[in-house]
Amino acid sequence: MRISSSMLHDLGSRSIGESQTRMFKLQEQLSSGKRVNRPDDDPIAAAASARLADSMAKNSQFLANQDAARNTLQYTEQIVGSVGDALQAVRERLVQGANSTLRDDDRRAIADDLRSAYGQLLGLANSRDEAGNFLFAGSLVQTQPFADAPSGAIYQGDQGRSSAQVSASRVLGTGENGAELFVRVHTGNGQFASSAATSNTGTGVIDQGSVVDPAALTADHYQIIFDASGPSITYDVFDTTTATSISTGNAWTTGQAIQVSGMQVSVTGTPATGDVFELRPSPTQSIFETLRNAVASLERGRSTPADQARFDNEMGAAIANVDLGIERTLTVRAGMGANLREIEGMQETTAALQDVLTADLSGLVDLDYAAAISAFMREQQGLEAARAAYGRIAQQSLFDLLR
Amino acid sequence: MADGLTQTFATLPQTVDGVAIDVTGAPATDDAFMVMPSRLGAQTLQVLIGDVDRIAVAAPVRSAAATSNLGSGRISAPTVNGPTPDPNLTQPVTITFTGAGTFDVTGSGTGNPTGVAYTPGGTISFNGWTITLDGAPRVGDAFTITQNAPGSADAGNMQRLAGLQTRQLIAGETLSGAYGSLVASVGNAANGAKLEHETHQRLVDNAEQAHQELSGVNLDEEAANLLRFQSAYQASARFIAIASTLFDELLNAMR
Repeated sequence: MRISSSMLHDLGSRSIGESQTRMFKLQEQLSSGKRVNRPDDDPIAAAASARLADSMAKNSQFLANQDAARNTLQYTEQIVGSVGDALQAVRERLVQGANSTLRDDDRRAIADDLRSAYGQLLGLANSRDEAGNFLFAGSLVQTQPFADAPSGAIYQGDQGRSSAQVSASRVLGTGENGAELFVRVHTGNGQFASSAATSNTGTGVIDQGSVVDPAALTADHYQIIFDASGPSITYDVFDTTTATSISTGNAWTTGQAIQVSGMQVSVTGTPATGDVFELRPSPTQSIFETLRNAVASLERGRSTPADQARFDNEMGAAIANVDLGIERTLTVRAGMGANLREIEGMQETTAALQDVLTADLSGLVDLDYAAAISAFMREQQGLEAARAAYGRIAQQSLFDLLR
Repeated sequence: MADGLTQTFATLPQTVDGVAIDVTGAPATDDAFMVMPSRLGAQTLQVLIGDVDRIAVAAPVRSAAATSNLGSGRISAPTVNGPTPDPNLTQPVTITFTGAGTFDVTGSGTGNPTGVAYTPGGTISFNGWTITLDGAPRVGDAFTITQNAPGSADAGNMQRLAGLQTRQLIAGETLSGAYGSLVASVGNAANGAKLEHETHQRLVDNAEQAHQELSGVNLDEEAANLLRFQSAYQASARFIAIASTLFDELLNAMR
């Protein structure tokens, strides 16, 4: 092979140039710490790393969402717990107030207590979170959920529930709206409510009753009408929804079980002729209305035995309603507790997943420093040798001998 | 140009691949227009809403159970069916139970069906929304679907938007998956081009080398030739000098 002089120069500069290119590549990798800096360095790894980076970004957002959801849940659960405690205190005061040995001024003191409990509950129901948004207004977080009114605070929020996307496939509730927590609370025993007509003149007191045959329950309203005109007291049962008489002239003794289409109640005391007790499917009544009614009952004078019977009936109903309110707070708290536990479990798995993804991504695109540094040293040696060799070759010429 | 197809039209306007084309004035023969409909597509993307309050994060409709409901029926938040919104989407609709297992629907656009069978946990769709109704509603229980209120903290829309990242939207892949594939194909093409470049560089080098082998100048070779020719020249010169001396000797001898 014949070597032209320009070939010698070309080869020298080319090999030095190539070596420099490789060193530049290595230097780029060493300074960025990444093996893959451009998609063409390793197309498969670059695509996989793009997907991994996306998964990691999503995952870290889920972690942030989980944190936020947990904080909201913890805060809200605290408030719901306070609501439960306040209702528990209200219940104790009601039981105390229902005691027939109490004097009227004691009752008024209890009524005052209940008024302040009402204010406390209203304050809790209008709680705000750290961002100043109302906790129990559903989705209308800028609207004060409860506005006080003579008949008990009125709900102004909507029935939205706050939620957070805590994983790719899970949207978790992080709160409850005020309608569910305070307003849509069933009265009576939750299935049906019993009440005494305010016009009753006897001393009959009806209990909250229970369902004995769920299959026989209807949505109708019923009246139990007493008749004390005969030698013994009897009662009629009347379906006011269909305006039909169910039964008439049933024998009655005090405290005896009265069954009406699957519902069982008992009336104690001595009802007078024409006294009416009503049974109907439990309507919903806000906790605030229940409290207002209880305060009114406690403050009403009791001059006659009939007044006392009305008071007993109303207090019985109030205690039952508050019980259901407490039950509602317990249910809501239990749901929140379950969500909290779920989030805590999820946080662990999400953090673990994030570690796995980080390791995967690192394995794909991160640089093996030992290998890269040794490659760099090798390249450097090669470059030095190439330079030295070229230098020597370029110097040598026969023309030197001709001088 | 991209698909290499040529379509010939006798009249304008025409729609080609979804782009409406029309020319005003009087074009002359051989006048050409180049249409690049997506060239500035990404460049003209911009954010028009700077106020976060104006972002439609909430779903357009919300649901509620009447507070007087006696049963345990629970209504889910409505989801909007895609892709085209129903014109009656935000019309108020009421679902009223006429029995434990049947309900009536009232509201514009629903056709006001009566006696619809109720499946607990089943979905109900009207006017382009879908809700799930669960539990045991009782006679007279009502559920309403209405337009969402302003200032709502409901994040229905945003959750659906965020859900897009897990939907297989592009050729059976998620958005990020498709991006990954794009990266892979660009990387492959770039890598291929790099290899091609190296190969061709080698070919060029080889050709140049072959060319240089034949026509290039090796300075040492030339120097050697120079020396050789110099020696020959010197030898010839010497020969001439000797010949000259011989002649001189001969001429002197004859004198």
